[in-house]
Amino acid sequence: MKGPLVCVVDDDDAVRLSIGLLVETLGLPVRCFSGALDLMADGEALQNAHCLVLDVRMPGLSGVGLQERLIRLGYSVPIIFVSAHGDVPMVARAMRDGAFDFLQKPFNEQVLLDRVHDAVLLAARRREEAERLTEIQRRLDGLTAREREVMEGMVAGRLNKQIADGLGISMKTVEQHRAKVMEKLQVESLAELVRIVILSERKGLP
Amino acid sequence: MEDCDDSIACDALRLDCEVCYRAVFEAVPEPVLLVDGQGWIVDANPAAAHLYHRPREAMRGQIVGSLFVDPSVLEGLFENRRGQLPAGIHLRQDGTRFFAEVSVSYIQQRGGSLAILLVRDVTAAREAVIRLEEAEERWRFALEGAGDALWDWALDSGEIKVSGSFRAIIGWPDERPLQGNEIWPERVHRDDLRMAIAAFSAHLADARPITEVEFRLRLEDGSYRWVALRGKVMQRDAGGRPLRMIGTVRDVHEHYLIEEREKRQQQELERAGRLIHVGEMASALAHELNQPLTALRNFSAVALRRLEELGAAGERIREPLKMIAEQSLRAGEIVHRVRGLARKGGLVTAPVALNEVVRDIVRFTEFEARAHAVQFVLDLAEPLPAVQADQGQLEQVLSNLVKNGIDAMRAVPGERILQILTRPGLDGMVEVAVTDRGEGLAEAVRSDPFAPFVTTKPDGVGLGLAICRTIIENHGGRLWVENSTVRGTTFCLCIPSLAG
Repeated sequence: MKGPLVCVVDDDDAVRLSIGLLVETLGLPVRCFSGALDLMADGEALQNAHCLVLDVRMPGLSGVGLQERLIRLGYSVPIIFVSAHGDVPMVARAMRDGAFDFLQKPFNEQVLLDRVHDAVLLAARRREEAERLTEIQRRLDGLTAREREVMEGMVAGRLNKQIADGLGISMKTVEQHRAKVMEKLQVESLAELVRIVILSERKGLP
Repeated sequence: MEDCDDSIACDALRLDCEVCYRAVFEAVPEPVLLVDGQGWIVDANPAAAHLYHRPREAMRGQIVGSLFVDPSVLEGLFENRRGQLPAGIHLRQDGTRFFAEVSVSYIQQRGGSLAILLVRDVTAAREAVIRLEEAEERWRFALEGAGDALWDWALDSGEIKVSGSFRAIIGWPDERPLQGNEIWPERVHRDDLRMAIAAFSAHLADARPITEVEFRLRLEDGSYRWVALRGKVMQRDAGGRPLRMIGTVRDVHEHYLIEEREKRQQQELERAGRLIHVGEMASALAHELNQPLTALRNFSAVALRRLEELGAAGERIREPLKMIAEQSLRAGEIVHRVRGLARKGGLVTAPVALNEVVRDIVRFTEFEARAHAVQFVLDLAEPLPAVQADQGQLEQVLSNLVKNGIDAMRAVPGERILQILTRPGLDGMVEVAVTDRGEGLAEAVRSDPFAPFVTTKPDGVGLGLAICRTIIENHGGRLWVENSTVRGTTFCLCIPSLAG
């Protein structure tokens, strides 16, 4: 099945299977794991997962423990916790650490499906954004040092003359670099240029 | 002979009398001697002959003084008539002696006065008295040696004599005479009265060999102190009625308070344990039920969705299937409510010093540890940040881990050491580690030692660790197995500290 992958981790066979079948009715591909470590070991599943449905309490690594590890690895994916316990403090911590939602077992399946759906959309959006950023970064990386200097002047709102004086080059050369920057970054206007530079900076890129 | 008729009548009467008298003399079980004015024995009855081990014939005509070790008591027997001779020692023919009291009465006969000596052998009674005095002396000696306050209570008069140290406890300044009831029941705390009375009654009625009871005694200043009383009846009358009782009172106030506190803590711990058990049993059950209920709900939901694909053909199945889905949620609701009820009250948290909890638990379980030759080794970080927790529940968890540790070393031939370590952990947590030198977790529980209803103990229900983990998680902490090898197991828990 093609599409955004949903991973289900629950040590209870029946629960795991039933959640898997349920999510499949959304038309999404599902992978089921009986333990958190099994998922950790499956790089491909982690790579493609758009949503994790995790049991809070499991032998070995718990759902919350898995969440912690993923955060430490810098891996971000919406997590929906399901628990048969009223592990309120644990859940509160999981939510604080960015869990997407928490459902108490047994739950209304429609709520789970809605949340899985939302989570998958969120993950898709995040992925898109991340891909865009990667692309922007790729384009930024394509600039020469001089082009980058000119670009920084443009973003700072300086006139061509000011940039030329600042870099000790001719106005004409500045204009040539400007055109190159617009071309390499695939932007049509100065406003668009400023936007993607700000986007890349917000993400902590150079 | 003018009154001959009379005289014959008189003689006849006298004869009757004598016959009568003789019959009595012969038959009475008491030894009786007839003695004339010169001190000769005129006659001795069979009981007397038996008592003195002499034939009656031999006794007749004997000097009565020869029966007495000290004959001087007989002086003036006829001159100053007495009802009683001083108690003294009498001699048998074979030289053996006995202690006797003698009652005397007199009769007038034609030949002069005769004394009737009624002899009572009181040797046994006298020895009993002597023994009693000796016993009392020993008893007193032992009591005074122990430094206790003494009392000596005459039950018939009610008078009680108490030692200076007893007066000092109560705060009585002088030596004014006292009545027993001025002390008990008068000064016994109302709540202890029933117990005190029971203890006295049981001994007074001879159902118990001693009176032994602790109660609060009111002092002169109105305050109460715990005292331990011991008492023993020293004398009873022939009917077994107690005449005199002596005993001690010891001030055990400080001792009692400490003991009381420990007992209360122990009870508190057990009570909390029971409560937690009920709550956690419900919690564990809820978990076990919620899992299949979840699956049931999900499967029926999946079935309903697949039914859509069949269109009208599935219509007749849709309704019952929907019912199944609804009922599974309803069952979940019920489970949830039951758990809510069992959890009622929730956590009672306050700042808790974990090191103190560890020390308390070591104290509570010391007996068990000693019984299994287990030694505690404490490695407690000082200072350690306090944690916000329900102390009773933490004690429950730690005592559970400690008891598990002790159990784990049951069959270990080597040194049995249970180490408890505390230390500040990561992220503002405080950690406690309990390490035993057992042979590691059993195969059955190794994969998930916290799973409910899985146990290796013959009398266990497999909830201990599950409960512990729930408690710690309810505190926002974690409980896990740090390490388990054939050389031992370490259980670790962490709880958020107040500082963190």
